[in-house]
Amino acid sequence: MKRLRPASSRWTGWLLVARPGALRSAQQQPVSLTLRRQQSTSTATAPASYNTQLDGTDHDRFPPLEPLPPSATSLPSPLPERALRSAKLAALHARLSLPKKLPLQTLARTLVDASADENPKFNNANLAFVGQTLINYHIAEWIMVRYPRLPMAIIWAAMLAYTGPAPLHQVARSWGIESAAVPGGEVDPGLLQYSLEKPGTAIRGFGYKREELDFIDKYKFRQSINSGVIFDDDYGNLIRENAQRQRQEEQDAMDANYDESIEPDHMSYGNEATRSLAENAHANFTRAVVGAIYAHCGRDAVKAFIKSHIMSRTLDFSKLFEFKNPTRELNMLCEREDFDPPIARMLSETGRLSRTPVYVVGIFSGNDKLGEAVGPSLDMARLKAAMNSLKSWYLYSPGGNARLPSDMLAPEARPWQPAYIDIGEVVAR
Amino acid sequence: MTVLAIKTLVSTGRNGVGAFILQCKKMDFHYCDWAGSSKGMNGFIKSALPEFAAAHPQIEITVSPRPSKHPVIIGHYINGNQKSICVRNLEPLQILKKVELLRDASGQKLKKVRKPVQSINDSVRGVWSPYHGEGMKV
Amino acid sequence: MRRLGRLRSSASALSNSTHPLRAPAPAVATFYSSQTEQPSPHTSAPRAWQSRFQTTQRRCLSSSSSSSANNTTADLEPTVEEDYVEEYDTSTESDLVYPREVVEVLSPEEITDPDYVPAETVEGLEEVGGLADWWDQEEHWGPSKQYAGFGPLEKVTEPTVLEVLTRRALVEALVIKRFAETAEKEATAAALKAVGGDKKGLLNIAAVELVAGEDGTLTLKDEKNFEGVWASLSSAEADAVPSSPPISTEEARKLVKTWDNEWKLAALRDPIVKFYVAKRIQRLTGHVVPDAKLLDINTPGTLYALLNKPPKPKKLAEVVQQTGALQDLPNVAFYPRRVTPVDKEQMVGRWKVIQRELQKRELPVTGTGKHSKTVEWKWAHGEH
Repeated sequence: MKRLRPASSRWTGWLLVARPGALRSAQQQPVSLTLRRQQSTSTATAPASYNTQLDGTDHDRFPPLEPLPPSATSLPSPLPERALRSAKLAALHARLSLPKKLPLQTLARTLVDASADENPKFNNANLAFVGQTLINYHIAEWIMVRYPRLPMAIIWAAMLAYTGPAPLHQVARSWGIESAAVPGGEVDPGLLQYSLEKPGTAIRGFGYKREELDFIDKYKFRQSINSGVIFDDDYGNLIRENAQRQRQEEQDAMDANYDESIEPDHMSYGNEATRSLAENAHANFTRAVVGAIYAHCGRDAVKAFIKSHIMSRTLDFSKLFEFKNPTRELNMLCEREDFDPPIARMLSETGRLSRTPVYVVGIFSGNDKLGEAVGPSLDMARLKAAMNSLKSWYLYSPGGNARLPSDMLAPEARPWQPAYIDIGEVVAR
Repeated sequence: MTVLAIKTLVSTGRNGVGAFILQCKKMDFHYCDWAGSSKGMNGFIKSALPEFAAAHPQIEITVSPRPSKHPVIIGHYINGNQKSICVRNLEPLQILKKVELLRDASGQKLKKVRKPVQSINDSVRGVWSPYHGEGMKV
Repeated sequence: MRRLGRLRSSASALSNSTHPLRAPAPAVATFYSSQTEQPSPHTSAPRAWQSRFQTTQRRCLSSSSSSSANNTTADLEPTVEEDYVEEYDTSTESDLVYPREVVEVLSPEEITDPDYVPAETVEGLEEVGGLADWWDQEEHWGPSKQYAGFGPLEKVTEPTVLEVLTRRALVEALVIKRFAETAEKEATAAALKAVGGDKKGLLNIAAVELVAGEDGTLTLKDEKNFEGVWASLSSAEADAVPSSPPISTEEARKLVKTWDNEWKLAALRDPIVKFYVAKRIQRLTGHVVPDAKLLDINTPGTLYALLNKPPKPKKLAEVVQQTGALQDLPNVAFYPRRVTPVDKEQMVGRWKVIQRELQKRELPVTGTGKHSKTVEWKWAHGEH
């Protein structure tokens, strides 16, 4: 749908008027006369003596705080020129310590979600895509260099924990982002603008659509991890056909929450679908800021930004694990690595005949203790010890300051020392 | 048989470890042209506010009259809370102190801090375990 | 009895003049005349409201005085309280229009016009009479009550015109100082109060050159100018009302261009000259220079700067906009008026939805519209 932008020559007067502190603006005579005529014929009960304008308020008693053209409410997002006058936007720019090269107009654009404004030149869809690829790349290489032996499923979960919609939504909230109730051209440019009525057509993920996708949906086939690495997105999720199916899913979720007793104009808020829409809008804003920094300030600036805002977050990797048959897995691992077969030995115990026994069990490969755990029963302690042994294997780290491959892009980088690369999964799926 | 992942875990942000975000994001200054209690606030807005606003570009500052009311400063914080201070009959420098108080606050409800250290990191010296060591001699 | 303290009595006035309420004075206009189009028949007998006033008077007077005082009903001369009940003299002439004569219309039965139909309701009838808003109408006031101050009605604020008038005031003050010792007091006073017309003022200024004298004091360059200016001041008409600035901005600008800055830097030391200057300035421009400030005024430049200073802004919003400090900062939003709840909704974008929904339900967008009064009130006042 083509959206009309007012010709700059007609509205220059409006846009060049000063500051948020400007006093009442001169109204153009022909516009106000026609408006008054419209007002008297409508059923609105404002007296004819008031100088009511399109917004229903008296502009003599309450001159508009910021001079806006009367058609501002029909625009989907504020004009870029308004970004220079918004105090909220300038404060956000300084709060994130964004470089001066990043203009306020671009920052205003990052706050406009695709659901508010469909025009890709005025929303943050493309910037969000660029930002997402950058964030995912930097976090992925950091995770893989820091924990080289991490299984792929855990890497996907860690990626979700650092770069998924939930953490990026929290990042946006921690930056003090407020959102507009309803997007429009009269809204403060410093507010995040998104609509819960219709999700926009933004690119969410990148990957390949599998040919057997229909079979997978029908028969619930199991997909291997290797195929997931090749085809799926950065979190191991299947890629659907363009965005239609995804939008269809979201629409179905919204329809499921549709309540017949409420008028059709009303949308029920506070359910899963709206919460995920809001989360996605905030996450897209964070990604768009990263994309904007890359566009205006380059590679090094964006890497520093990602490091300080996203990489600085803590995640306990050991809590991401969930095991099935850890003893068998540990056995296979020891076989593969030519260790002595693992044997569970009791290190200490107490209260065997009481109600609450405590067994401390260690798993040994020869004389080396692989891991130990405490449990209320012998089996539990052995299983937990196996899990701890596997965790200690998977969570091996060469250190937090291991060199990343992207460090080589910096000028005058030291010669590259190969990073530790693991063989792969212990149990291949 | 393989390792499964728990996908509901989310990383925790730590303000200041990477980038530092000042928790006070907005301050509203309300004054009155007629009320005598707003004399100090009017003087503050004319004299000290421009300097404060220039020194804190990350705080959005709004100045607007509230006719026939006492002057008040309202601070808005990133966690969504607000703190308001009525500055009736105060001098400009006293108002500046209140403004600095709002700037330094975090927005959380005031709590008595009993512990010397608050951290999510593990203890440096380790937590005592009953299962290791020599046990207790009875 | 209520003491009518304002009214002072005089026995002679009582005996000479007619009854205060009986014969109307030569009226400037009759009561009701400005409102009725056709003259209605009226009688000269005291009218209803007059007779009501008479009875009140009679009652008031009779309660205190003895019965011997009221021998005749027509004789209302007070005998007891003579010292403060005064004759109401209606023969004074003034340019104020006040109600004197009462015009009484015929009752419906007396009207002979065949087309006349008495009205049933009040709708459509012309509202006539009543004294409540008599003095609210401009045409009942005259110029005698117009305030004529010492200076013109509006202060002169144009910088160039102000400069010209300041210079004229200085010239005239120096001249008056020279002649004040020899001339009479009335002549000096008249000269100080003189309000010259257009051409005289120009003559005073254009011809006269002000320079710094030997000791740096301000003085006229040419000695002959003293007499000329004094003559024009003395011949000016007295008690004239000062008018709007005698010269336009353009002419003033031309005059100012011909002068240099020397006269502004000369010294003004004599306090009497300063007093004369202040008085002339007030007469010509309307600006009142407080005596306390005269101590600090030592040069014409200081005086002009004081007069030219713009008034202190009354609102903080004006101060902030003049200084512009808060407007240079990108993170500051200054609003000159109160931010209303509607403004907050507009900033967030919710207002258009609220407006649309209210209009859909035919409710007033702001205010209560036709729902402000109770339904019973509307029934009682005939609004359905």
